Amino acid sequence: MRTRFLIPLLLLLVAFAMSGSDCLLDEKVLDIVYFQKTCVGFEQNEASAVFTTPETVDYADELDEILDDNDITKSDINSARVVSASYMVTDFSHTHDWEISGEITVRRIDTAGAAVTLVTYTDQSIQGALNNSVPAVLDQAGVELMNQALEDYIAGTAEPVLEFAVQNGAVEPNPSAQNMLVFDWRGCVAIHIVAGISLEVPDPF
Amino acid sequence: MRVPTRLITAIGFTMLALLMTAPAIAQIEDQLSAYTGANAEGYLQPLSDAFGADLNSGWYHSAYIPEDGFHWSIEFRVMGTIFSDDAATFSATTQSGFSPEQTVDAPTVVGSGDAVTVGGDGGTEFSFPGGFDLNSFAMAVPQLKLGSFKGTEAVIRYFALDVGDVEIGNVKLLGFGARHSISQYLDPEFPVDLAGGFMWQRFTLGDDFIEANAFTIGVQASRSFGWIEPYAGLSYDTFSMSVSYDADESGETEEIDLDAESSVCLCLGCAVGIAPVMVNAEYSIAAQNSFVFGLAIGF
Repeated sequence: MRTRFLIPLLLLLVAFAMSGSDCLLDEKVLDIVYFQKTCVGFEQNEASAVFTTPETVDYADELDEILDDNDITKSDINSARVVSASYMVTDFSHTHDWEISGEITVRRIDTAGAAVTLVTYTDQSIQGALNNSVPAVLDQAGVELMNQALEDYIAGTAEPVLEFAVQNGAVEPNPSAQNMLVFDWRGCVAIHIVAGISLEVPDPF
Repeated sequence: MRVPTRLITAIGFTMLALLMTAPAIAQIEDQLSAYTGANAEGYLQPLSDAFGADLNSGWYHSAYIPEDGFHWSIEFRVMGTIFSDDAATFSATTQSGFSPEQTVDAPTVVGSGDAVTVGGDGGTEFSFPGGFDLNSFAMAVPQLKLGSFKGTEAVIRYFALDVGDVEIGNVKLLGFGARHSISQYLDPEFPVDLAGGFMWQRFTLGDDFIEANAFTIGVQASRSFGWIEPYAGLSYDTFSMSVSYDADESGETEEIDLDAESSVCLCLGCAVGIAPVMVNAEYSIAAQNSFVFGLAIGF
């Protein structure tokens, strides 16, 4: 009686164990979100309130690096979008503060596109932004340009190269050759890349 | 000859279960890297609850402890938890300077695999990562029971495994506990066997990715009817878990302490078999319900 009961029970247990991964593993597809920040440094040494400082970024190279670092390919990516932007003064040693107003523009060099506004800053204290990341007010035109660059990269139709340019319009007090406006700052744009990956995970019940 | 074959199968099953869990846990670190602070805690909490419930269960299948004499038992336990619908989402808040700040229901680690995306100023978007779409969480552990000395037995749980191929390093579980027979102080005609005891366990994964501590103390009762032995237990369980990971946003190591869970647990189970083999099944009713299937080989 006991043997008749125990043998089927043990066979069931052994069968469960021997069935191995097919029984216990379940293939799941999950969206993983990668956060990436692209930063551009600007060095200002200005005698005038109106100045332009361009910097070029090989955006495709930066995106390639993200994919390599995370072992994913373009075909894994579901979407990539701008999340936010910020700027920060990294070097400033004047005896008095300045307030600056203007915008940071972005344009596609790879498609020879026109510059559009990405970030607007108004009466920004340089001292107040020293080593302090300031959330930037984003302009829709600039965000759309960057999102399109990301879409083109994912689709493989372009290798985006972007030019970011500081287009300053006003400084208070007004700088001069005797009172030069000197500081370094950095602007950063954050993106989310959403990629779908397939993974076998234990989900036995 | 038959006992070693069963033993090898059971060991193989245990190791297989552990090895299969490791890559999934490694992927959790990638998912977590999108989060900081409260979002990371909310994302992981259901897994922590399940892990705690599993660790604190399955360490006995009878309240009978002989007063003296050498007894040993090698045991394998598969502890599982079924996730409720409530565990699938948590209240997540946008971060990374996203404007305007928004709070939405986003998938937890056991929730849907689909990311949740919200729109913000100027056409920006913020995405919350998906979960692993899990119905259940289970783990298998080996344990050794040794006794008896004055109605007392020791329980030891241990495994250590290097899973370096999935970049998370070592998995280690160490636990020990003791149980003492209360029945030896009672009238021999008392209708059930009674015992009391405690068990402490520490689980670590990687150098410092996950560290979890579990402790349970309680009493058990059982009655043998030949080859079948129903049992029950009442215990007070605690569990805490800390996680350390690299956050994408800050580029720095984030450390989070998940809420320490304490709960009273009622366990109901049944063991079946004759020496040297026993199998058992039990269900635990606690803050997080769980169940156990076990195999014990010993004398």
